[in-house]
Amino acid sequence: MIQFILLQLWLSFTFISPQNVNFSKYQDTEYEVSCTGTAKDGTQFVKVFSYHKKPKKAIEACKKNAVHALLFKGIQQGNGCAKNPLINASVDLNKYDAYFTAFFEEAYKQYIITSTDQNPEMWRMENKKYKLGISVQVNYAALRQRLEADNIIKKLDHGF
Amino acid sequence: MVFKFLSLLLITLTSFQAFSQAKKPIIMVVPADNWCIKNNYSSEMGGRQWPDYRKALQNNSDLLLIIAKINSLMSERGFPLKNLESVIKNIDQEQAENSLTSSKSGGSLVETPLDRLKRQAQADIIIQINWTVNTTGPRKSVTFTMQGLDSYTDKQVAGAQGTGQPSYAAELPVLLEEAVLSQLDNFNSQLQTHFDQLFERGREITLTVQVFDSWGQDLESEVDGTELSEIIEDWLSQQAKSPNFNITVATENQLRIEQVRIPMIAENNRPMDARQFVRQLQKELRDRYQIPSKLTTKGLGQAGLILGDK
Repeated sequence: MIQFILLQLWLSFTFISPQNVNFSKYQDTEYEVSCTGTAKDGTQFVKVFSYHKKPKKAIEACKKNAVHALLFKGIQQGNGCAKNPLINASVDLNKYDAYFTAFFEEAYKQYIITSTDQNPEMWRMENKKYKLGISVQVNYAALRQRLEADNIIKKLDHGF
Repeated sequence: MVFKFLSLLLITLTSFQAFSQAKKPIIMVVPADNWCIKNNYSSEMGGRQWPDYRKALQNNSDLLLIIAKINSLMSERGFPLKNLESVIKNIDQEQAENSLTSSKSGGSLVETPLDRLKRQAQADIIIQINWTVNTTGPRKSVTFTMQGLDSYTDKQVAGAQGTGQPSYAAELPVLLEEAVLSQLDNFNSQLQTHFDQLFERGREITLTVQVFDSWGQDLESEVDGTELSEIIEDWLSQQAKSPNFNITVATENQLRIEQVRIPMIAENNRPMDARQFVRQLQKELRDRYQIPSKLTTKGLGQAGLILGDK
C-alpha cells in the first residue's frame, strides 16, 4: 500500500507538476535589439532585428520582440533605454504564464506607438530566412504602470 | 453585533497595517563636489575646497532645471524630493546657533557640508548629479551621471551614466533634460533593488563606542565576568536584523562596528533609524549595568555612544 502511495506521489511530481516557464516562450523568433533613444513622454526607441521565413511575419515579430526585450531582457546596447528588464528574476513566471500568453496575443500592440514597418531593412539569409530590422517606439512608462497596476511588479514606493 | 465586531476588527487591522509601514526614504538631489568645484561654486575651509551649494543654486539655472525635472519624475513614482534650497536655509539658521557638535569629553564632531546637509535634510538617499558638455566642432553632447548614495553608509546604491546623442542645434537645457530622462529609469530600477534589500536585510548603520577619560573603566573592563565590548557585541547580535557585522576597531577605548543591519520598523511600529536603535543599547547599559553614556549621531546612519558620563 505504502509502495503504491509512493509511486503515485512520484508520478504526480514527475508528470503533473508544471515545468518552469521561461520568458523565451513568449517570443516567436530570435532577435537582436539596441536602443536608439528615449522621449520626454516615457517612450523608448528600439531598433529590432528579427528572423523569419516570411517578411511580413518578421515585421510583426519585431514589434512583439521590442516589447519582449523591455519586459524580460533589458536593452544593453545603445544609450538611454532600460538596461534592466521590467520583469526581474524575483517574478514567478509560472504564476503569470496565462497573463503573458494573453498579453503577447494582442495586448502588447497598444504599447507600440510608432514603427518604421513600412520601410524595413531586409536581408535574405543563407537558410532562406529573412532578417528584418525596424525601429519601434514603445510606451515604456505605460507598460510599467500596467504591470504595477496588475501587481506583477512592485511600485517604487511599495512598502513605504 | 457580528457586523460591529467585524467592522472594528477591520479598522484595527487597517490601522495596524498603516502604522507598521516603513519610513518612506527621503531623497534629495545635490550637485556633485566635482561639478561644484569645477564650476567655482566652492569655498575654502581648513585648506580644502568644499562645495558651496547655495552659490550653485543661485547662479546656475541648469542645475535648477535638472533638480526640477528629477523632482517631477520622482514625484510620479511616489518620491517627491526634499528641496535642497530650503535645507540650506535651515543649515544657515542652525550654524548661527551652533557651528560644532561638541561632547563633554572635549572631542568634537566636525561635519563636512554634505554631512550637515544629510543631517539637516534627514535625507536617506542623496542623488549626486554631475554633467559635462562635450563639444566636437559645432556638435554638442552631454555626459550625465547620477549617483544614489545611501546616507546611512555612504555606499552607492544606484547609479546611471551616459552620453547623449550629439546635436547641432539643441540648446543645453534640452540636452540636459534628455539626459535626465534617459537615465532615470535605469537609476530607479537599481533603487528598487536597493529598497527590496532594505526590507529583506534591514538598514545598515555604523556604531562607535568610546569611553570618557574620567570614567576609570574601559571597554576591556569586566562586568559579571564578561568584557564590556563583548556585552555590547552580544546585544547587537541579538537586536540587529542580522547577527553578522564588521568590527573595524576594537581597542580598550574604542569599538567601531560597521554594517550593523537594523530593522526598518521598531517593535512599537515606529520607523527605526540609527539614533533610535542605539538609544535602546544606551538604555540597556544604563538599566542593567548602571553605565551612563552620551549618545551622538553623525548624519543618519552613524551613531556613537561615549560611556562613563552624560
